[in-house]
Amino acid sequence: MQATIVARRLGKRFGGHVGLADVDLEVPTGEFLTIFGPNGAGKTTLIRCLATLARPTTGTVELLGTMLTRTAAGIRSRIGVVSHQSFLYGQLTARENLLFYARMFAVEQPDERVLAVADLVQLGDRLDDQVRTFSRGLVQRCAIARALVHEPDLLLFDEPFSGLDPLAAARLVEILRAAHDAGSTVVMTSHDLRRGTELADRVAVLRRGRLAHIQPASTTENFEATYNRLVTEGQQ
Amino acid sequence: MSAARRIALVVAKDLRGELRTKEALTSTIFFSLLVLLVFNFAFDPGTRDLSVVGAGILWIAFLFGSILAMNRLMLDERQDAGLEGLMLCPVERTSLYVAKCLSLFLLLTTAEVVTLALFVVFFNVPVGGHFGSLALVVALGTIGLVALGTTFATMSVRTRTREVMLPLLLIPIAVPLLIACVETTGSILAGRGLAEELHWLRLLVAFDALFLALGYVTFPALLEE
Amino acid sequence: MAADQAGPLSNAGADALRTLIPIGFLAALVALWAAFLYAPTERIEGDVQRILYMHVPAAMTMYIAYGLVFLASVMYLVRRDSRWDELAAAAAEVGTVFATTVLITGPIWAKKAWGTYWVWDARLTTMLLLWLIFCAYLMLRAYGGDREQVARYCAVVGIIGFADLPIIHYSVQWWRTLHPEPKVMTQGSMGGGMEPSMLLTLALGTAAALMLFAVLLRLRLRLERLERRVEVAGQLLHSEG
Repeated sequence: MQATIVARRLGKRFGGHVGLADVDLEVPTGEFLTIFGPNGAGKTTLIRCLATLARPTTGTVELLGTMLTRTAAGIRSRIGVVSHQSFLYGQLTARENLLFYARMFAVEQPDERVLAVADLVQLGDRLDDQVRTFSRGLVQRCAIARALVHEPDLLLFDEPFSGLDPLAAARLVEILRAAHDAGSTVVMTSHDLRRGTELADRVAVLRRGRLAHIQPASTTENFEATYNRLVTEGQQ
Repeated sequence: MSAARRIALVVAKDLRGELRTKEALTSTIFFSLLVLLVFNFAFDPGTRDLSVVGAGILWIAFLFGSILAMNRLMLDERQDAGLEGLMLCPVERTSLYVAKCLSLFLLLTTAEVVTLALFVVFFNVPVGGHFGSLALVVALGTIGLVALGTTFATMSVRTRTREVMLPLLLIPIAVPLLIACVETTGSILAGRGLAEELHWLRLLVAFDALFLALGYVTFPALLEE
Repeated sequence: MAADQAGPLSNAGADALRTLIPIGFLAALVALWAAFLYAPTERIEGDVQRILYMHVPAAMTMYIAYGLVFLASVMYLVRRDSRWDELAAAAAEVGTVFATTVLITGPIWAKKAWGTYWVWDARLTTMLLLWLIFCAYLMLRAYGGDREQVARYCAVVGIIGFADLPIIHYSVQWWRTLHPEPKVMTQGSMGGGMEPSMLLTLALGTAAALMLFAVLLRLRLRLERLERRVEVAGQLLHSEG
């Protein structure tokens, strides 16, 4: 298939509040797209709509060749999501959490896969500790492991660097780069201009629910100026 | 992988988490015990026919204990966004309803068994030969509470005034269930068994079936954002 | 806008109101005259029985209102058209007003007729429960979160609450026969043996109540629509800024 994500006139309204308006987005397979934008721009809403957690008010979303209608259960096996919530169960250990998701996603040989993915994010000896004892950064790393446990084709990562110390952040960059090299499609939102543009094939700016700008990532310096201009403009 | 297998995984996960902390279970049991205690002082059991009043006391303890349990379970889900984690999985939203109902049912019946034991001890109520009938009534009543409670708790946790929203929604709608359960339990405690109470049993079954069906069908609409 | 199309969700109701209000007003006058002057005094209970000419029509209207909420709730969940949600919200509010009337007029009559303000008879108890369910519904409307979530949640409650109605009715009825009220309830006013003039008065009262309901519903619906349009317009302006 040509494109992993095809969003047409995507809109999301929460009663009176407009989260997204008229978003047209096409993400080819294998592309790494970083979306920037000020707080409240709709980045999380966009990720949630793509992750099938939220239902668009208007417009359509096609993921991996499948139109997202109300019954989109199967497509979720191919999506990995990292968001502000960890989606981890505090009373269970990291291993139990990862095993649960691995089994739900029908991963073959779940025990081995859990060990592999825990190794990837360097959970180390904390694997059998309850998640509620974890620090913020450790929770985030475990959440990333959870998102990767079923080897998804599409990664939707909402501000994945938040809460990570420099070492963990560098590790995440490696993980994302490896996923990208392996052919996964990645859509990431971030406040980190440097890392976001380094990793990306294309960069975009979301402002007040609309896709204000999108361009190839190669020309970073121009983009930074563009971004600042768009954001300050939007604040007037 | 079948839906049944996934439901089983979710229920196992819920139970594992609950057994680890036992928070919801112990607080429910203690709360039910407190209700029994209050009623002992509110009514003098000596001057009342216990088989009549006893059924009411028991079901009030069950009802308020279950509301506590529902609030607790749903609140945990909300904090870690656990229910949303399940929504990321390739499982139908309706299956999630079944899983949540099952988890809640298992939790509640465990608490109810303990509450019933305490009730029998404190109020000296003979249950004797009709234990099977009592188990049936408690099971049917709990199913109804669970069918409605899962729906309403999922809603109320996402609203303001959440603690009061759940009982406000649940109790008026569950009145027929309560009436049926109290009447049949009263018969059992009085030693008459369920012979004359078949219409109540039928009402319970109809109630359970109706609200399980409605809850099942409407659950996806609740989980959308 | 789509909302201007004709049909049950039509917004072109100004003309309808203009004819309905004077007719309704007239009907109410006729009904009042019938209730106080035309209908004969009831043998056993006396003049206090006349309050039933308001009580019974209000009860019937209440059931119709809540039935409307049920239908609108189902339609909303199926179609996700916010106009159905608006209808449900309006019908629930106006219906609860009528329900409150029922619950106030009932005890006033009961005090005189039966000696106590409240009896847990099947009818009143069922109405009290229904009133409670819809108070919970209205609370959910107020505290349920953003519009879209509230619409979905209230639709579910509207469906579940209304579906419970027959079950509530039967269970309370059976319960009542098992534990009868010690007092003997008077016949005549509600059950059998109503004179034709009384029935006519009741019919007039019902017609007036239904018209009143229609007017209030229209007005409430229009208010709801205007509120929402203002909200949406404000937000669209903001996002395009």
